[in-house]
Amino acid sequence: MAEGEWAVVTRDLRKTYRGRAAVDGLDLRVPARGVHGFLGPNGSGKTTTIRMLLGLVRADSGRMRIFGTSVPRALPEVINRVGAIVESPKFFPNFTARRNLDLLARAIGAPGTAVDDVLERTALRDRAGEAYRGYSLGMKQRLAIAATLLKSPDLLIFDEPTNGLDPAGIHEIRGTMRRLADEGRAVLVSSHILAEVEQVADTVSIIGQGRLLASGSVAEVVGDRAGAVKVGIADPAGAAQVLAAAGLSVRAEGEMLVVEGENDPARVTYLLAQHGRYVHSLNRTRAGLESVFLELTAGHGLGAPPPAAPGEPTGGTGS
Amino acid sequence: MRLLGVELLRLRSRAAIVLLLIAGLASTALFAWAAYSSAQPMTEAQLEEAERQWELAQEDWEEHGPEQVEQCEEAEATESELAGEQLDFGCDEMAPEREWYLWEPPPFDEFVASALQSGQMIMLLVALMVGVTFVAAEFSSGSIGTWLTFEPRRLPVFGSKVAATALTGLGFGLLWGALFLGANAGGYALAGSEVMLEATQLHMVLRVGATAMAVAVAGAALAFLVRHTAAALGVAIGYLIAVDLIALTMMVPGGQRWTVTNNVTAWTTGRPASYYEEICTVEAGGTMCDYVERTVSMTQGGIVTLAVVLVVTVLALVTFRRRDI
Ligand SMILES: Nc1ncnc2c1ncn2[C@@H]1O[C@H](COP(=O)(O)OP(=O)(O)OP(=O)(O)O)[C@@H](O)[C@H]1O
Ligand SMILES: [Mg+2]
Repeated sequence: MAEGEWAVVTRDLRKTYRGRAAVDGLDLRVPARGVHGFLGPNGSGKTTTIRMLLGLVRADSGRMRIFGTSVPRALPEVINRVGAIVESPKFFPNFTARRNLDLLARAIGAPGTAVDDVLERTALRDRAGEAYRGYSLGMKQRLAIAATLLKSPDLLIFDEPTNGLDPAGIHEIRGTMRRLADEGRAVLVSSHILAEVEQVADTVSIIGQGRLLASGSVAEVVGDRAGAVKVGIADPAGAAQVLAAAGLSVRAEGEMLVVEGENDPARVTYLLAQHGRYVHSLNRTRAGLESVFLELTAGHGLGAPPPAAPGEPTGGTGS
Repeated sequence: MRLLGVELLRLRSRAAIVLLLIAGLASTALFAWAAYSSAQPMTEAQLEEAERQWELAQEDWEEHGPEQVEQCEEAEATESELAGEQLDFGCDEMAPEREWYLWEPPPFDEFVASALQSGQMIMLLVALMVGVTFVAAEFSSGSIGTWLTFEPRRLPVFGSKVAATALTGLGFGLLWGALFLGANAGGYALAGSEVMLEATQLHMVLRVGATAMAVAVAGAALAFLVRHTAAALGVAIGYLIAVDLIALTMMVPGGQRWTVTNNVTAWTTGRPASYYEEICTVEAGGTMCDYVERTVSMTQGGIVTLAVVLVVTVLALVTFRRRDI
């Protein structure tokens, strides 16, 4: 694909805070359509990357393009195609929701009906006259989404949008992201929880310590990685012996057994049945980000924490 | 232009700022009362008493005057001999005069200028607070970050905010100056004293407007630099204490010429702001110290004020353009 066909492309992007690399040569590619999950543990550089894309933070080096436009140099040309919520919704607390949106709409010369329109779409219209400071977290999040929609953007960037929301709120945000993507836009959503993203994301990038670890469709990146099977059975200790003898890694978790690194529940039931033991419950758990992440970092030799402290020679050519 | 309009709307929507401005304007009413009290001419009873005192003094002078003059001249001669030069004890100006006993309110323009010297404090504080809180609140709420995702060009963002602050400061200053003048005139007129409105007073109002504009801009610039209302006010007050009051007044000889206080005062009141400088000379008999009155001219005051505001503003712009949000 040519660079213009990606919503976001970064090349060797770097940002260092006080000698510590927050983003360390990141190559990120976000397709121009669909939901792209931007995954990484806390402090891995997701927010910093998003800030750099939006021109809020200066990159130390590297290149960034949004829809083929070089940013931050030409950011003003492309900013109207980008709606973003960085970290948490940030509006002026003493203004009403409507006033907050109104000021933003005027800045981009949006038509007068735009504010009502986005309030309607985010179901905030009835409470638009209240001060933002009195809003619940869910309403704040919806208002932030309303603000991004003022531009009818081709790329939406949501940084941990479900933080602090209840299940209904999370469900709602997921629905919104899916809908936006189905309208033909690109949605870049960051999270440190794989499960939050995998249901809605078409593609994902996983980063760790500011570097890209894996990227591709959810199935490619996560699907074939080892998960676990949780088994409910009478006499767990005996069952554990059977499974261990077959070469599986088993541990007890309360009255249950957890068979790690096994994706196929049928194999577990078969093994146990052969020994006359029958499971009464069986759950397959998908690999969490944590385990995928650990596996990825181990595989990339970035592995076990922490990497060499800054300033220390890492190669043989040191001093 | 569009951004300036939005910033003006934002300013108008800020209840705290509107309240500050209204309170600042309302404070001018206090000056009517001050003017009224100092413009009171002498009452009949006071006049009678003054006449009586004057007559008593005259009688006393007729009796003891020549004697006192003689004593004075003697002392003058002795001291002159000791000092080796002709000293003037003012012996020929000892006769009492009638106006010593009669009191008259100061002329209106003089009174207004001196009232402004202390009264400007309120105006300056309001202008500073408006500039500071307008910008700082957006940093502390983080809404500046949201704003920059709609308008990422930092220079226009900075420019429109500063311009909106400047216009507001100017409008406030002009209105405050006019109300201040009106309050003083009202007080004078109510007390039955003569009010003379002249062109100089119109100029004063214009200068007050310019000062409020400059101070509001300085406040906004400070807020861009330190991003917090309390911190920005702290820097402003800290500067006045550390630099104006301690360094320039107490430590640097002749430094008072460059204090913000003296320069702003000279500019707004339109009269030279005076301060005293201790000049010491070493002579055979020891060190002789004298306090010499010095003044800061209105022109200097205006130029120094402008220069300070420009420096802070340019510094703020450079910082805002480069710094991470
Ligand atoms: N302004 C800053 N000053 C100093 N260090 C910073 C700053 N912003 C980020 N960092 C550091 O950069 C690293 C990456 O932070 P970042 O916020 O980008 O992580 P993240 O992936 O968004 O994490 P989270 O999931 O917790 O939001 C962290 O080590 C953080 O401490
Ligand atoms: Mg983050």
